[in-house]
Amino acid sequence: MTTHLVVLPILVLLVAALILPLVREPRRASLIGVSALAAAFLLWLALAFLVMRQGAISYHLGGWPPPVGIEVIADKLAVFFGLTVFLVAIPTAVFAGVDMPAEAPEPALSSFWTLYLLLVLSLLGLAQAGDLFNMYVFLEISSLAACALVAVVNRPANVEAAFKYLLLSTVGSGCVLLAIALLYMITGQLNLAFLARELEHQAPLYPKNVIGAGTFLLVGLGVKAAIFPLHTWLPDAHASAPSPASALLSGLVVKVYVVVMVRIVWGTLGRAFFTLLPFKSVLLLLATISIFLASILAMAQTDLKRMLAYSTVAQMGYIFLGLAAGSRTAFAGAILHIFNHALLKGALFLAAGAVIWRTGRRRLAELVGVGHTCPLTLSFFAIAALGMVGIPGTSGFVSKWFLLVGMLQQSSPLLAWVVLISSLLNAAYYFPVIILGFFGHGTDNELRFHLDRIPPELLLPAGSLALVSLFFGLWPSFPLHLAQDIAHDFFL
Amino acid sequence: MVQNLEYIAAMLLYVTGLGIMLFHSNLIKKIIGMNIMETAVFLIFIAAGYVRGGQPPIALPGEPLLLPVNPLPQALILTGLVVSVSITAYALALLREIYRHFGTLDAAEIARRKGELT
Repeated sequence: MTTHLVVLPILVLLVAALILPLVREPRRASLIGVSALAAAFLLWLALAFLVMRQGAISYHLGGWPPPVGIEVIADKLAVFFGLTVFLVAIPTAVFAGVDMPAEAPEPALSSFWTLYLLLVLSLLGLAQAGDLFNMYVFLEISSLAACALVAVVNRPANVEAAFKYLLLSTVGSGCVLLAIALLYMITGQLNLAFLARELEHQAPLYPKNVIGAGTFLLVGLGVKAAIFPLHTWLPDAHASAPSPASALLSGLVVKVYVVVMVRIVWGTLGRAFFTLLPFKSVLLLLATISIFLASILAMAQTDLKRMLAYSTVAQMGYIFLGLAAGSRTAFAGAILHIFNHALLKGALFLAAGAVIWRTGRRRLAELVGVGHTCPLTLSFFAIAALGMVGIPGTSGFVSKWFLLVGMLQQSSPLLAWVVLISSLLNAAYYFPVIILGFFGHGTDNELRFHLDRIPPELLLPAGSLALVSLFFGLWPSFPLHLAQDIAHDFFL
Repeated sequence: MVQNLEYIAAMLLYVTGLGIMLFHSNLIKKIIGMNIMETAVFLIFIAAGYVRGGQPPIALPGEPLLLPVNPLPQALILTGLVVSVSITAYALALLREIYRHFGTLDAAEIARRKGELT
């Protein structure tokens, strides 16, 4: 009975997602959405507790054991990412309950919740998938749901961004499917564990298939995780989406593909693969360019949400940099950064969304002096922004610290400089927003200081994400130990 | 050479589809290119499971199954087709809205009009 716990959270979300289109009333739809998420979270907590106590659990769908049956895995990586998903998705859902009626037309609201739950369940499914084809199906669910969330608001910019996103992510899925075909051809397996075992014998015989599969995986997952030069869709999609959707897309969706990459490349293809292909060197190079290019482009933005979107591209660069740096400490730092960046970017997008809800402004020039009318919201924004820069005491500091230590241990100071110098660039575009927001004088002479006139349903989610991230910056042991365990399991 | 004809055909289809997606500015053609590309991947998968001179993988009572083709790729690609159809349907629905908003389906023209909007 207890093993069914592995798939129950996904099932709860799936059932709720399928019921929601029948619900016409927006308030009831958001209530069902939030309570389904809460129920799934409780089940996930129980699962996490079980996995922490007795190790990874393998669930066989329909009772058929692999390689014939489908395997669902609940290991530390899945549990870690799932907790991240719920920590971001639940506050965002509360936020969406108030914010979405202001952004989207009423008939679109219940389908918004269907898409929201489908997206969350696809993220959980991707983190837990134990075979390649299951991964592919969840990959497609996640990209369809993500695109549709961008286009929930039927404005020209949204529809265009969603189309671009859909086209590119379909190319990405096609590449992943081709990689799966190439691996299936030589091994005859789709289950990850069996594939890994078979590949040890087959990889020396068919090196070209393995090289081809690795390249297509890098391109396919690279498009979806927005690594340079495949990031062009992200700023449009994440900036134009409604704020809660942006928080989900930027905080969680791009990162699930990193989890998938860790599971396939590090967990399955393994050592033989890294000797055949300069995978890590390519990843290092692309990540470095991503970090610098996106940080510089972020400085040039005039729109708040677009700036945050470019910052996501840069932060994804840190994660790839840590994975490919070749040090176990940096690998743990990268895994930890998945968690930290998810919370921070979620807080930033929700705070930005609350400011936009209150003032209707999103251009940076118009947000000067916004700290006088939204002091609490801007404070939450500031906490998260400091975390992005990596100021000591915030959670961003901890993961960047581990990246740095790992790179220095690996005696590659050049990579350490990349992290340090780009942190300066991060400060260069986050600090002006905060300083001008609190101390600048706006154009409309509304200088009288008053507390935010923002409903608590908008304020609390942004605040809770910022404060939770601050908590894990001061006491990082729980996510850190999990990340180190994951690095121990997967690092090569 | 001739034995691998299906793989060569699939690669040609893949490159054709990718080329259409990259170099045509008409958005409908981009969707067509996307479909051709996906079909190429499906063809590779199906070809990988085919056995020359093989039988359908169905065991009839009393008849021994001598040389069945691999049924797994076929089952997988059936799923892949469903996914591909739903993505095409959604992409076409988005295109309808794009046409309503911008009055054109030309990518360059849309980029220009979007610049005017902001």
